[in-house]
Amino acid sequence: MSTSDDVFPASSGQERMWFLARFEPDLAVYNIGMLMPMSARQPVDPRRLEQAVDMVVRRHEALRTTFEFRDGQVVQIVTDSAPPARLVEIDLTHLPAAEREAELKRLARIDAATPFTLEQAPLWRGKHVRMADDDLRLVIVFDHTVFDGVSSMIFVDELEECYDAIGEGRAPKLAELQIQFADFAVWQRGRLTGEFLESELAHWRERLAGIPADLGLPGDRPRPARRTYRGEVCLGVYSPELSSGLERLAKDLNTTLFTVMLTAYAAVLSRWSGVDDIVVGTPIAGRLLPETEPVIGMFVNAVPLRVDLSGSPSFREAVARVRTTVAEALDHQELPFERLVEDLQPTRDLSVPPLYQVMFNLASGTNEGQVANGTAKVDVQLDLNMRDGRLHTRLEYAVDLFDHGTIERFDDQLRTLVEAAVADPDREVRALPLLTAGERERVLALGAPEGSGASEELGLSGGPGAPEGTLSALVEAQAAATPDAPAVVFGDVTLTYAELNARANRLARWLRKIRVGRGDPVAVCAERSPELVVALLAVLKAGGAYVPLDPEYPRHRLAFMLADSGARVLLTQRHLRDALPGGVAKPVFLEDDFDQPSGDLDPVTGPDDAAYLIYTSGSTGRPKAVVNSHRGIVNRLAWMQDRFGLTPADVVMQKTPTSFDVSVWEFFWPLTRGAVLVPVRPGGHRDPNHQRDLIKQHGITTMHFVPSMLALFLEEAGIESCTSLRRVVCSGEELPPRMAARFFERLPGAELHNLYGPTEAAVDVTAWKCEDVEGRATLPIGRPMPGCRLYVLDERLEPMPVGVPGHLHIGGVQVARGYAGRPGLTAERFVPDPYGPPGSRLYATGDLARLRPDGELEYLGRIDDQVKVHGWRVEPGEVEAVLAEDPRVRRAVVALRDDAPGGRGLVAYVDWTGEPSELAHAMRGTLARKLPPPLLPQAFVQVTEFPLGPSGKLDRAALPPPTGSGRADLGTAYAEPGTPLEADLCALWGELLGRERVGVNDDFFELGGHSLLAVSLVTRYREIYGIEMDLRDCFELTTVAEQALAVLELQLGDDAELEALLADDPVEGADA
Amino acid sequence: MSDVKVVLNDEEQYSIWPVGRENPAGWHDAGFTGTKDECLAHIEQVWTDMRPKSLREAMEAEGVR
Repeated sequence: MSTSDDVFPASSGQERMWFLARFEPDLAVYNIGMLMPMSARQPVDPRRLEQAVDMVVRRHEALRTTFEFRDGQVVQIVTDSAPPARLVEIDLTHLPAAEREAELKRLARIDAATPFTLEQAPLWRGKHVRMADDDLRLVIVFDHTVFDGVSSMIFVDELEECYDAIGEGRAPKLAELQIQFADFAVWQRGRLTGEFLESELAHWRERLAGIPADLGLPGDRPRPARRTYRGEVCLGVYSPELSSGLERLAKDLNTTLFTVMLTAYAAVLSRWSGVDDIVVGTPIAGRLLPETEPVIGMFVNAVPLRVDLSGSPSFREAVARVRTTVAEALDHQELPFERLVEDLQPTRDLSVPPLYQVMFNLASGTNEGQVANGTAKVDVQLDLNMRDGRLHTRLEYAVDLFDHGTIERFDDQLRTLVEAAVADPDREVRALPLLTAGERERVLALGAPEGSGASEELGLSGGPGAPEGTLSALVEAQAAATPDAPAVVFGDVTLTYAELNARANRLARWLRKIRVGRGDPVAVCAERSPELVVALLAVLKAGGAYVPLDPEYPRHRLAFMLADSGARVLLTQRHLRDALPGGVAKPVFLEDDFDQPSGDLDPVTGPDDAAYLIYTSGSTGRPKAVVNSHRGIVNRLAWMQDRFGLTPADVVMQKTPTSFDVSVWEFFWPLTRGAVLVPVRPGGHRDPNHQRDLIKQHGITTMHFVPSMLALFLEEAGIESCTSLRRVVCSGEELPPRMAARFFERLPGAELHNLYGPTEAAVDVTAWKCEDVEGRATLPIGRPMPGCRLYVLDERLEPMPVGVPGHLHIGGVQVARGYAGRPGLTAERFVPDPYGPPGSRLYATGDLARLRPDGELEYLGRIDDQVKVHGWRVEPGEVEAVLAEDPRVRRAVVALRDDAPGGRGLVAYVDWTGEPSELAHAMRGTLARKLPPPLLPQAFVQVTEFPLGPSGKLDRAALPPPTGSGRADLGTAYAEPGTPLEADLCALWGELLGRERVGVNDDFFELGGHSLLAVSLVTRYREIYGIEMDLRDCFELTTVAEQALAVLELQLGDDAELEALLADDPVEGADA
Repeated sequence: MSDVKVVLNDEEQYSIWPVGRENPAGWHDAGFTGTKDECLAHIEQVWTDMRPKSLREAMEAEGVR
């Protein structure tokens, strides 16, 4: 180092960038690349250009500055003895003229994407590129630590003046600089102390209290645990008419183009994210002192603008709010962004940009010469630039999250919203369209396939070619066609179609005799058996609607259903008699002989009559009976037949309890197609072992699982021998991709189908054939079945754009009649359908979903269950998926609980085959590497069995409290160091962290460590042990014990073992 | 706050719709406006036979209640 060097503390902005550079040494997130055409001065003399650059470098200390980490802080070092500025020479004249521009752009981009080493001068590099004999261009890149947007304008002006001056043999006409950047940094450090600092912090703390930790824009991929900063750019331009309309609107609203466009930007972000509290960052020049104006350096600051769109303001009102917000932010612009982050979000989080995830800027000059370098500083950044009477948009976006097409749609939707706001600023912001009329039609059409009945006139009927008839008539037709074929096989008992039909006819006649008539609810409470099948069919033949009651339900629940349904007759089995509640319903015992004629009855029902009433229980309130028509379920069966082509050679397992609507197709699909129905024995729906045997014994081809049960079945021994199995249908819960992958591992000969639908729409309304499941974050639920329409809507029932979550609504022939005896609830959930035939209704599912660009639907959970932890919207399924990747995890369930240690938060329930004591530590380590910190469960509970409800679905409410039995070690008690090295490290940590006693299992970050302290730690390791620990490792190996091992490995120089330590469970590494 | 109204279709099925927005085709005002809860309570009172009108008429023609 030369004696002419001066050392100053770095500004806080420089400190942050220095840290980022250490952390992501391969990225050039903060490079500022410029391409200068020099058009007015061509042909440019390369030597003169180089001299001119040198003159500018001599004027500005920032361009002679480097950085170092000394004594626990980042310092900037200014040298007076920099060698003369050099430009690299590139000659492109050997290329065909047409290729030179593209090559120049490519070179500029590579240059802009190559990071600087902040310890090595200079932090800029230039090239002059010869394009032709009379055309020389300048490509120059600066590190943002010494440069900013205003600097680039200063640089261009001064460079041109110096170039001209050299040519004219005179001194450049440039005023002497009063101060340099380092002077400013020192001044700023002094200013940001005491009362002023406190009042600024107090202002921002209050202003930003309770902001969402993540805006949560719906992306194409989940947020990775660590941002890669990779980015791309999407450019657009508004028409001259729209551009001038915007300027007019700004004038009318007595504000600026900046404020109007920021309002529009926030409006689109709000619709995409579903929140009305939007924090947008914007750069501020940061040159409040007049002396700073002509100086090159990193003066720029960023301020968060918190836009409040709550309470459905008009666009005009929203603009007024934003105007106030902007004015206020400008009054408090001096506090450096980093100080704000330190104060407000001191927790480390490598996944999400702090404070705000989106940025906005309206450049006063031109950003034409800016070179994109494949990075993005935040999730989405909108840069606007008005030039030649047109507004140019530049959206820089994180490739981690978004595909280009998604950002193009964002751009389109912003323009559509802006057009509408310009046309009518008094409209409510949330009513401003995001979609053009054409795009809206296209999105609606994606939810309404052909034959969905969208163009039909009758509200109740299906589309052209929609199946007619009743379930009972269809079974009768089948019985006439294949009377001797086996219909039901149960143990030793086989009923042929003729026998089944005859027995059902006799019972139906009996029912009519005891005055069961058209539309009457008839309760059926029987265990799986041939009698149960006969009972269901008989109720339909008699003209009634069956009300299935699960004999396993508690008596009080059965009593409620019996009373609520108004059933006057209860079909049941003698042995269940004592378990059943008494009441007004007349019991009829299925074992009895009904001495009645066995021929078919005259039908009294048609397609619009009720076929079954099935009780569903929402999260709140008493259970309610959904009334479904024959038309709906017949349509559903027609889809199934069309998709799978069931034949008399097929054998279908019936294992779903009758109280769960999947059972409806299990019973009636095979019976309307001549196939064999094989009921599992009572209780057998919970027994994968029995199911396997039954499949083999009867050659079952078709069966259903809820995913919770499929998980158990897939771990059953010997299921490979179930080779008769052709297709498995899943529904009722989300099907995790890993479970699907496991399915194909174990049952390679079978198809797997993912179906979706509520009881309120005849079992299922969408389907997706599982294919290419590896590597997917979620499996789609597919497209609507014929006769069904599915729409993802906002609260005004307007369609959501592709990719944006909204409330899933179902229309079409399968929509249920409603909730029996619950007119208010029915009116609330079955709403007027603006997109169907006149008078039709949509069922509001309460489910959150989104339409993917390819037209497949993605289920995102219950709207009421949207889980938020510490301000983060959390998808427990995401955490479950990562847990399930560990081979020692048989199954994992993550639940949000109020009784989690440390308060409301996530608890992971893990069926864990590893060492019990290792569960929490190992899984926390794994998750920390793959998920953002807010998604890390607060407790890990080892379980061997998951509680299941009567339908076989997971019963979340029955999961044990995390403090109960089976609780794994949660906190970290003090553990003494076991080796001299551990003791040394404990002491070192204590010193760095200001703690008296540090134990070997204490977590660096939980003890108050942060990123800069981590750098100090790495530095101390270097000094003491002569090792170079990667800063990243510090974030993954966070306990003394883990780091002691890492230090040891590094001392031994064995990188492979360190990698193993990082890759595997650190505890296992310790044993090795 | 009366921001919702009661509507019904030709099948005499009831639902609710925001005041000030055009009814979807086939839906008519039932002549009641109020809060959402008031409208649902009103429907609870007036929608006594939840069968679609066409089905109800067909059943009545056959003499089923």
